[in-house]
Amino acid sequence: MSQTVISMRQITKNFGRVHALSGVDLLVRAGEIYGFIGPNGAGKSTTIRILLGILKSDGGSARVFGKDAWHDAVDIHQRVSYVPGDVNLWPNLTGGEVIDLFVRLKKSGDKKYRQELIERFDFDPTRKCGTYSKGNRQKVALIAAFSTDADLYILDEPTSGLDPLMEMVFRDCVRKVADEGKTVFLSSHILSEVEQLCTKLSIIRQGKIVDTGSLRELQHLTRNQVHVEALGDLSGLSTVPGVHDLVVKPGEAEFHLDNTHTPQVMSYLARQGATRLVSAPPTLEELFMSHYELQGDSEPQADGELQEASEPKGDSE
Amino acid sequence: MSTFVGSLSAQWTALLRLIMRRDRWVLSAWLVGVIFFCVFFVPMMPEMMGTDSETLVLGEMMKNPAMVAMCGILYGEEPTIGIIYTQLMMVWSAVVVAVMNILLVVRYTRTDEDEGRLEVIRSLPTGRQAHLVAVASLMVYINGVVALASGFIMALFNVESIDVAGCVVYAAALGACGLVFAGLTMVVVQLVHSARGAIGLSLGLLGGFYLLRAYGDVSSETASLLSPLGLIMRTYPFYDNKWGPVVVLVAVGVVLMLVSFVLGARRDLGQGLMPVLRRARAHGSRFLAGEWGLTWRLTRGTIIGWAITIFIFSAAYASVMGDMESFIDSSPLYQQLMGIGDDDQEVAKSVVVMLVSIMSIIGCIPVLTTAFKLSSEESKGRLDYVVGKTVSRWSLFAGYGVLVVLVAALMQALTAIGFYSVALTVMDEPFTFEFLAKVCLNLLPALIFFGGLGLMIVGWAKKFTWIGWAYLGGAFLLTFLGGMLNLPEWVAKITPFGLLPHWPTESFSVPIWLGLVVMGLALMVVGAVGYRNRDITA
Ligand SMILES: Nc1ncnc2c1ncn2[C@@H]1O[C@H](COP(=O)(O)OP(=O)(O)OP(=O)(O)O)[C@@H](O)[C@H]1O
Ligand SMILES: [Mg+2]
Repeated sequence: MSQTVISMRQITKNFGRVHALSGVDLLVRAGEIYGFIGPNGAGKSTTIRILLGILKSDGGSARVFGKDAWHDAVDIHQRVSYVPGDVNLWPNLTGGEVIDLFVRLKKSGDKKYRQELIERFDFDPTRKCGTYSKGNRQKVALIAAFSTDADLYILDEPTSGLDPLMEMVFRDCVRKVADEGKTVFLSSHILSEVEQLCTKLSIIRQGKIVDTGSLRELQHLTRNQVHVEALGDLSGLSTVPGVHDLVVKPGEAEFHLDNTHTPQVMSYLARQGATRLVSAPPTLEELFMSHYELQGDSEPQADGELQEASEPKGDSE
Repeated sequence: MSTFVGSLSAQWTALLRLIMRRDRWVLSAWLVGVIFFCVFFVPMMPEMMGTDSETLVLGEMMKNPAMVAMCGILYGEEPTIGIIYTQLMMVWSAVVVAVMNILLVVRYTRTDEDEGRLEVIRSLPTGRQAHLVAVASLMVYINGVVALASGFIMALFNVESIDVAGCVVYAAALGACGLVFAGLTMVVVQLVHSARGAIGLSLGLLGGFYLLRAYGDVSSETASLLSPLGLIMRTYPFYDNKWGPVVVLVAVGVVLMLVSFVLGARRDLGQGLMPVLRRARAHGSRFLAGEWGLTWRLTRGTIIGWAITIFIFSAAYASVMGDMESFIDSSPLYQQLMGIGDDDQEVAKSVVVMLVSIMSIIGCIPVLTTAFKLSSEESKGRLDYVVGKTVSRWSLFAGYGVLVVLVAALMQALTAIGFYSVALTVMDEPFTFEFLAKVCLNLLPALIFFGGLGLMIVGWAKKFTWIGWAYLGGAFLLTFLGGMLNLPEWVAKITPFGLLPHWPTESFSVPIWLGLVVMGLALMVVGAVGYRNRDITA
């Protein structure tokens, strides 16, 4: 059994009346690419900030590399690289200067690889940060994070500003560090991204982990939404295994498909003379819907309904 | 445990270097400006004082309670140039140093935090308190430079009675006072929830300490000792040269910084220790409809804060009018100096004109702040949402124009009311409200002019907002000190406050009054034209 990198037990966190986290458990082992998904405001960033010792939890224990996330933050951070979802930089320093600063604070880093990353991310390090677009600011954090030596990469929605080409570069970077045996903790609300990269994942909703497992274990996650048009009659689909929520109209049908049963369904559709097939991964919302259908529990949080408090950073006056 | 404490400040030197690197120009500009303010008047003193007998005369004038409330005490048996310089300039220099400390501390702590820049820094192997330690050492350094440089330069001028020992203690007191406000702001930053809140509360405390000193200097020594601004003058530079107050101030500053470290360790990033008082609304109120409503919503906190400030300051200044009356009665020399036989009211009126002028200049601060809110919103990228909607820039800009004029009028009205309400109770022969209202109304065009100037700057080139502040600072100095210097007449007239005749000591001029109002409004129109044609950028 490999080593535990992150272990969180019964972590709670309140912001005044807002219960951001109510009993979060997480266990991430060395070498895993761990996905962490949930809708907006679920508590992903809060969990990550507690892991990084930026916020102090109100209860429970959070340990990284076996050390306390709050007390031993500096030690832990020697071995951690972090990329926030919303990167804010000093407007009058250049991107290159900021990358160097981050790397220097980390006291480790590979100059040659940094240069390579700058090229692969197609990034101009000579401009002032104030003039960068959102995606470019994110690249600063990504390049700094991946060009330093770390055993754990914590990434909070790192691709929210990247274009598809850059997302590919990002995925290569993640795979590269994973091949080296490093651990990656990746938060996202895009299921497909997590699906492509992660070996294991947890789903958080309203401050609670509602499901954890490998992709295989969370089969209902891999249920695709299928729309099909065919020459033949499609009503027989209801008897094919792996088909859920079937809606049949003349000449077309819509249903959810368990990916494990794809071969059976495909051969059935071929026999019916399918002319058009559109398959989309389930959205997060559908995921939760199906999740709660399975649990037979549609109102999970009885007390302390999540109140959106006033934005802490905005001008309230 | 000790490694935990040690690790709290890990790598603070790197963060200090970061601040120095990214803001070397900002820091240099502040230092040059502040040091200039602290010393520039020294070489002009001998000219102002002329002969020894003139010094005596000026000393008598400076003893009047209004002057003491505004600037500070006159100590020593006999006024010397050094002592009069201290009374005139020390408190105001300390205020300038304090403002620098407040703004810089907030800039490097709370602003970085609010903008989310501190988050990445925290995720790196830097201590949780490293940035506070870095800022504390930066402020020690900055105040040290202010003290050393201004003391050195003052001594270089080699003015009679402004000796080296006095310069050293004078400048050290200024630096120590700056350190107190740096520490105070670092504590405030831990309590409030945003950079704006931190600036507001810290400046409020500065204002409070100023008033405490004003009250103390006129009527209670203890009160003055409780205010850093009062304590600095108890070094009695160029007379006793006492170091005690400097030591106390440095100690207080250091303690406040340590307190801020402790408090900082007990709160989350982005939060404040004070509870959030109001529950935020889910829906916009009726007022939040449209861009004018939004403008009001964004500026009202500042405007209300300043309205209260202006009222309190006017009332405080007015409170010396009673002492002023008895001072005039008891000082035939002063009556003679003011060139008025025995009409006390005349003398009192000339004092009121001076105080209202100072208040009107302070009233320009909220006027400019309101105008510049349009550009600061833009810099934060929030205006994109507004202009991106179906809002015409004309309308947005016009809203600010109207607001600026209203703010100007409000501040002058509150000055009149503040003065009247207190003067009524302390004076034997109180002024009529009508008289005070006229004095304030007479100066209203100056505020409108500054509003127009501010909006014109925003309309054409928002990065030059500092010009507005510099011009206002110049106007303050000319009003405050210009009268004592033998400056050519045109120099005083380069600011609206010098241009407007000061009724009732000078006769009211309709063309100048109307001309300034029209000019202020014209500047707004010019600004609007520029604003319609320029890019909205961060
Ligand atoms: N500083 C704060 N003060 C008050 N409430 C907060 C604060 N930070 C977070 N919250 C609340 O805690 C909850 C969790 O927020 P969090 O940022 O962790 O969500 P998230 O899962 O990262 O969402 P997103 O996908 O939008 O990034 C939200 O309800 C949020 O409003
Ligand atoms: Mg988030």
